[in-house]
Amino acid sequence: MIREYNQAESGSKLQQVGVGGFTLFAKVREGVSMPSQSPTTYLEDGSYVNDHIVTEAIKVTIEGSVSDTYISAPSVAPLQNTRQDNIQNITAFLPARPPQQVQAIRNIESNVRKSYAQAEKNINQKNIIAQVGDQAQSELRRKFFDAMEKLYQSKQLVAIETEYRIYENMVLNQIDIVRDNQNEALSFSISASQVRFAKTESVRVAFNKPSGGLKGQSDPQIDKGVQQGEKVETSILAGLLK
Amino acid sequence: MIKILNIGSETNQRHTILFEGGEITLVLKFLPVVGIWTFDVEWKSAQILNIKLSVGVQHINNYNLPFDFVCEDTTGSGLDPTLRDDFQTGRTVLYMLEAQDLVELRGYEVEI
Repeated sequence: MIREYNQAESGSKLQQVGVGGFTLFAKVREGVSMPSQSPTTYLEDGSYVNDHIVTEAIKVTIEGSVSDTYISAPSVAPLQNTRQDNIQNITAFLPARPPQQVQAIRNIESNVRKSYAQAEKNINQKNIIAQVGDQAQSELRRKFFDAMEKLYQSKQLVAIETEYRIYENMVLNQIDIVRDNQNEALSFSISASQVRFAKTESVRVAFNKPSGGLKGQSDPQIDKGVQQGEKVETSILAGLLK
Repeated sequence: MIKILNIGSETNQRHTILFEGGEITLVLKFLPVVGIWTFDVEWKSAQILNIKLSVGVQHINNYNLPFDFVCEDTTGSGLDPTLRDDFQTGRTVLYMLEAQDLVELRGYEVEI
């Protein structure tokens, strides 16, 4: 079971994109909204309903936290049930500890207690460790804030990763960042909507059997050749124009 | 000013006119349903599409090109070309104004 857990830890479902490339945050909640407009008036019988339904831009909301440490959550693969004939095998019995081993264990315990007391003493001083630790720990939070501020000011389109999709061409409509002293973390909420682009394409339509009513309007183009025209006296120009 | 030759009764016909060392591609189209003639013209990087042919007017004056097109009604009725064989029978004639003609009309030099 442990082996399968570790194997799953090394795999990944989606390419890591995060929000505009920033991935070092814990996503608490995310929401995807896919709105569309449907007709409220009566449609003609026989008309294509799809032509009257207009899809709107996809909206994504993400709530998360940024703290001092970041650990990528592994995806746990489903465990395989394996048939085992034996439930448990007793392979060795733990021998009794010799006196030297007992003494060594007691020395380790004593060292641990001393280190704990020293650390607590330093923490109670607050000055040195609080400043140094806070600077190092806030580096990630500062990076996140800088990244979000840069995205906001540059107005560029970014890619946002959700659980099941990566949405491209997203514009950040709202970025809310809240700092909490008690939890030493940044809580954020991001709302984004997708910008869609239309591309004009032209295709040649084949007229296999044009309607007779067109009277030859759809006939193919005829090349009449190259000419220099017939030189005409410019004196008649005045009479040509109204 | 030159007269465009060889305009037939085809509904979609392309003429290539030699002009100032280059070529003007003139495509004449006849729309039978509405009874009008239109033209497309391409010269260097300029492309002008779907201009209706009318008698007695400069058709692409506002594009500031070194040439223009004028249509004449030879019968004096003043009717625009509306029939398929108007050019073939000579009822209407299409002329192309050259740079010198435009200088006289506009009163300033024309960039070629």
